[in-house]
Amino acid sequence: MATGSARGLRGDTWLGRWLVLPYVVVVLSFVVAPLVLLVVNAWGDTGIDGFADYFDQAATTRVLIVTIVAAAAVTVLSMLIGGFLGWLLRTTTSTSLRLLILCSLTLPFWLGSVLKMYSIQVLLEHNGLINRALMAMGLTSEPKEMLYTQGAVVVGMVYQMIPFAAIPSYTAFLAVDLDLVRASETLGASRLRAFTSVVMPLALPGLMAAAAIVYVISLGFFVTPLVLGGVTSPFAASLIWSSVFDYSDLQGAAIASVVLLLVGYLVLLLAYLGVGRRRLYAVLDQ
Amino acid sequence: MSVRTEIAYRARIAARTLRIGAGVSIALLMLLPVAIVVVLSFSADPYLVFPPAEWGLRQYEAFLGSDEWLSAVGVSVTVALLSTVLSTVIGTLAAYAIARTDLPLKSALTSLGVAPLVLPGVAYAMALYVLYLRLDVVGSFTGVVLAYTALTLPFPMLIVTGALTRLPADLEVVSMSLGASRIRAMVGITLRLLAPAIGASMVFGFIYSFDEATLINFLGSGQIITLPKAIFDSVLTGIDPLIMAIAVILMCLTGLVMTVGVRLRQLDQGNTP
Repeated sequence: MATGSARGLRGDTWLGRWLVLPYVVVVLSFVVAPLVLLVVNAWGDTGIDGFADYFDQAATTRVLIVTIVAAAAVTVLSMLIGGFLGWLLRTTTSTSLRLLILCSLTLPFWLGSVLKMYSIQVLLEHNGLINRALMAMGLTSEPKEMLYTQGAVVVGMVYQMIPFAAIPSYTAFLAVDLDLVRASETLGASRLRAFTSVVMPLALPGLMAAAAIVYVISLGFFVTPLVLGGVTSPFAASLIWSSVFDYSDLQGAAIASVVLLLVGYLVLLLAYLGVGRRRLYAVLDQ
Repeated sequence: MSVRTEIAYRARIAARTLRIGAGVSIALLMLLPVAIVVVLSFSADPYLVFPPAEWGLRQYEAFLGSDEWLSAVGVSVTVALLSTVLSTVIGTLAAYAIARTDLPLKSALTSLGVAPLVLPGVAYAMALYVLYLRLDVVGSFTGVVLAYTALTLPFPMLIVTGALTRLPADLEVVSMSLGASRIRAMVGITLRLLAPAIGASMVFGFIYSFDEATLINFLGSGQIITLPKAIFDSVLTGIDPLIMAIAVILMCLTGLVMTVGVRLRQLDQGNTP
């Protein structure tokens, strides 16, 4: 009787379903439609030849390769640094160290996306802090040109992505029982050994999910390449920007965007097949 | 034996010191840019040099006296508020329908709504730009608000959906069996218990759209100048020192708002019966 009425009430969902309608409208018009239209634009009158031409040009292929490789480097570096911070956060018993790490992950974020990059620019400038420090220490006799290089862009992106790597890593490490580390150390393993053969296998799915998300976000950076790499830097963002606003080459920009989306989609697909949807959502949900 | 344990002990202490030392150095390095901005904000120089030659509140006064910058703040607040309210309402309704009814294609629907958060930013901006060009709405205020609505939909889709799956659906059934109407059960029980999650997703959505600097460059067409857009232009064309003061004020405000968001998040997760 009780279950019967419960089922009756819950079965009455024909109205509830319609609550999804505004969402469907927004998603169709602002996610699906633009992506479809982008592909249509990239395809244009030239079809696949447009893409073939695109890959034939040394300049555009170079931009793609730089973007894809730089995003990979950013992922590795920020997972290493962020993962290390996440592990410290997980294992330390010191409140002040914990607080310091948490501050270092949150305060830069509060600066805002553009100013965070500007402050890196202040550090890397010709007459910037790093150059002055290097010269004061006698490590270099004249300032090194660091700004407007690919290295500068990678530094900026890593700076931006460390929190995105650290917090999910911390969550992944939370799932690991620290007694396991102690147990393996009692059995004679070094801390490093305990980490690589006990902790890593347990935390790996979470870390992979975090790395996939970091990679895809890094592909699409716009502010960082422009501020730290300059308008002519060989990154997809600068290429798309100048194609649209300097050369009015909408199709070229669309092709570059489609290629970026495909690479991003591929990485997410691999992560999805490897670790599942739930883990990917868990990374975003922090 | 005791010598060996002694050595092992020493090695462990050394490793620990090294670990903590590395952690502290990384953290301090990450805080360095923040420190630079804070220091520069108290510079009284007409242009930025580090360290400042003269100190003072000049940049703060300049910011508070500048109509241009204050109007950018106004535009940002309006756009972020409108889009966050829209996306929270739309997203919460959808999350409810997805979690509580036998809707088809649930996971595809959720993935599409979460997509804007993970699509490579510049490619998504380009996609929206192509659509807006065709509709001839580049530079329109409504266009920007709607784009930001889509951009912030992932927050309710992740946070409210999470909260809903933790709330037993039977609560509504129980309250209805005790005589509450359907609407009363939805609003009085579910919505009330969801309040922290909804609040948290609004906070994160607001901060996200307030700080957004990619879409606006494509869709704003130089007519909708939000704060990040104004800062971006200024950084590219020659920096206005008063930006440093803005950064510090923003940092404090974001920190405050963020703390509220995190607190709401904890409340929400503590809701688990």
